[in-house]
Amino acid sequence: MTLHLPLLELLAQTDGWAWLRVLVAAAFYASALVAVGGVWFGLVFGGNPALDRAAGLRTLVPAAAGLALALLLLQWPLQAGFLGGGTWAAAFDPGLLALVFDGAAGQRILLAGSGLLLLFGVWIESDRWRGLGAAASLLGAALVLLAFTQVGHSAGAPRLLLASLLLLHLGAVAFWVGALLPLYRISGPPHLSQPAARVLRRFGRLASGAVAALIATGLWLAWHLMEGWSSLLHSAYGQVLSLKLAALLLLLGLAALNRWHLVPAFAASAPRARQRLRASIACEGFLVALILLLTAFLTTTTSPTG
Amino acid sequence: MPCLKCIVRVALALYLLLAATQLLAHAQPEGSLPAHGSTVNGSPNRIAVWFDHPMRLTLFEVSGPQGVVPLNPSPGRDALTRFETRPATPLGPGKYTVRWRGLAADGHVMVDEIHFTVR
Repeated sequence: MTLHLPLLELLAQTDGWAWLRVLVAAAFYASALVAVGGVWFGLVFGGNPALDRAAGLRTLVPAAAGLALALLLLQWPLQAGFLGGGTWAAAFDPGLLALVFDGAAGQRILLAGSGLLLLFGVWIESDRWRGLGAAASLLGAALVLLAFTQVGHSAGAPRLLLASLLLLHLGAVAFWVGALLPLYRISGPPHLSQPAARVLRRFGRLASGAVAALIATGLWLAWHLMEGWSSLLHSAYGQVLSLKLAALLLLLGLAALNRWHLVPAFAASAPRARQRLRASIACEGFLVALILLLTAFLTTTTSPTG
Repeated sequence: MPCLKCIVRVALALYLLLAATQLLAHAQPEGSLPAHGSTVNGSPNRIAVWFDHPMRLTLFEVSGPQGVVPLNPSPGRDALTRFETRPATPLGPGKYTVRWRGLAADGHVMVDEIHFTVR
């Protein structure tokens, strides 16, 4: 019996240029989600000046937005270079650059770029999370998420349903991913233990809903795009998606451990609870990075239909 | 905390932007000439690839025992569902690889290789 592993064939065909595109795409996903998630975090959990300072959103959101903007612009010549055969000359070929910008990728650059610029400008400038600044932040976050629906299979039919579900999926992912670093930070200073425990408990309750939305939309999108589950184990796309689901299961296990064991222990000031909780959040961050890398590999090198 | 009105307005703007965006088709290769994995007797007159939706080909390269094969014509980067070209000089016996890259309307970068043998 021969074991057929299309994923290994795909890995063998993936050249250095494609890997560079995967790494840059993964870093873009991470920084854009941290910027958008930082806005969600400020919106939902902001208001306590000491906690806000500890969470460090005032530097985290503009730094993540600025990095995402740079990576977004870097993806443009990288895509042109890949299209031209994987050379730096092709990466800066005006014809190829225009070809990329002329299509769906150009729409994505414009939308995500405007959203990230808005987030960068508002969070560098504003020290008050209310009024026009808050509305501009929300608009910036919405534009960044909307940009993800401009490219790939979610741009196909049924357009509105696919794009809405992807938006919901990404909004929930951003809520989770963007909260990790602020939660890690606020659980550090001993004098903030009580207000931090309240935020951690509230995050646990809200994250349950976000995770349910994330899983439901993710599974439906995968089922729809792959036209069933049969290719989950028999195509390269399905095999990478299976790895992503396995990493997600581990992440859910850690999230459950945090919610029902480590956060209550932290709130009760149990010995070493702070260190254990922070180590667990750091592990969540590592798993999120792995999931984003797998997602970037999925979207860059393969497609649900083969 | 921003006002509910702001959130509703942003959500409405987002929905309008979403509803206004166009439907974009993903393109898949449907076949090639010579077919992938086939053996042909003598040099093929035509080398072609076709798709189910328009594709902008950015690279179309044939290589064989003597290296890269000159083609006439080369792809012009226009959106097309079929691209057909001819080897500038007859292909000698050996194994050949057609390597192409292109951009689908939905922004997906597509890449594929077709292998055939000339006897």
